[in-house]
Amino acid sequence: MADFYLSSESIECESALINSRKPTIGAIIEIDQIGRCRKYTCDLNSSAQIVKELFPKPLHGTLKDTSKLDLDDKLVCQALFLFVQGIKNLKFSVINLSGRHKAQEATTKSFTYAEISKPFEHVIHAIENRNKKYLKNS
Amino acid sequence: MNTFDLKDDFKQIESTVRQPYGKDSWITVTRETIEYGNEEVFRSSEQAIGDTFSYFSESQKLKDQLYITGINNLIKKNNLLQQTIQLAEGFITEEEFEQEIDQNPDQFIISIREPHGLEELIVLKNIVKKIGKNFSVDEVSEIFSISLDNYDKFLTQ
Repeated sequence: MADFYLSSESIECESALINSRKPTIGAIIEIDQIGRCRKYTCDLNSSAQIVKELFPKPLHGTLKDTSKLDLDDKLVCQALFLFVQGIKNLKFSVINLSGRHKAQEATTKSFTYAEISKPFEHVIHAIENRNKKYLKNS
Repeated sequence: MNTFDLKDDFKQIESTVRQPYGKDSWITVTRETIEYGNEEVFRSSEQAIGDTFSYFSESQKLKDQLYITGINNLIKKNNLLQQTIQLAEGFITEEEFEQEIDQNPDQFIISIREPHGLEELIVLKNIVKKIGKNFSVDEVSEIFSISLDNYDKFLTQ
């Protein structure tokens, strides 16, 4: 159970809670390991949290070895993309995520793979500053 | 009448020579000869020229394949978008939508495959650079049908 913020970090699960201010339905893609799946891109402050783990739980991820698989693991970022097994459209409902902004929420009900495509700006700056400090000191 | 077996008397020999051409490319010259007994009979010169030019450059061939894949995938996305709009507008039901996709998967579904090698990834990188837009890795993967597993390799080129 942890939050993940960095680029290309991913989760794999049986069910995930997706929150985003701008979800978009993408293409239907056929991947050898999981078969037909629907792609979604989520922009403007998005998150994906594992609600149900894979069963049986594998040691490594199916699509990516480094995928997080534990319950309540959460990706928090500016933009992410996800693959949801099956061709049915996810139904997003509008919720009040913060006092100012509304967001859209959906829960997947089949194999889900989500990956961060763009972290928050402050995370990128923090990494850049850390690298600069490291280069100065070395 | 003198009869003979074509398979035994005629021999078809194919030889391929690869020559460097420019910095990244090479020419593959395919030469086909037909032998009858000990005599060597060449194929027509047109065929030889055709073979030479069709294998002009391996990288050009890869480029063509990727461009064709990209255009096909964009057409598939467009087809799916049309179907999704029809579903959203209520012209078709969800069952009809799924049925249409199941019956014509070639028109809607993008299949992702493993890249043929490092050369293909280098060619792909050049194409993306020429397009000049900031694509994310998943967008490139979707348009050109390249597998997820090779993102890291692709990024480190």
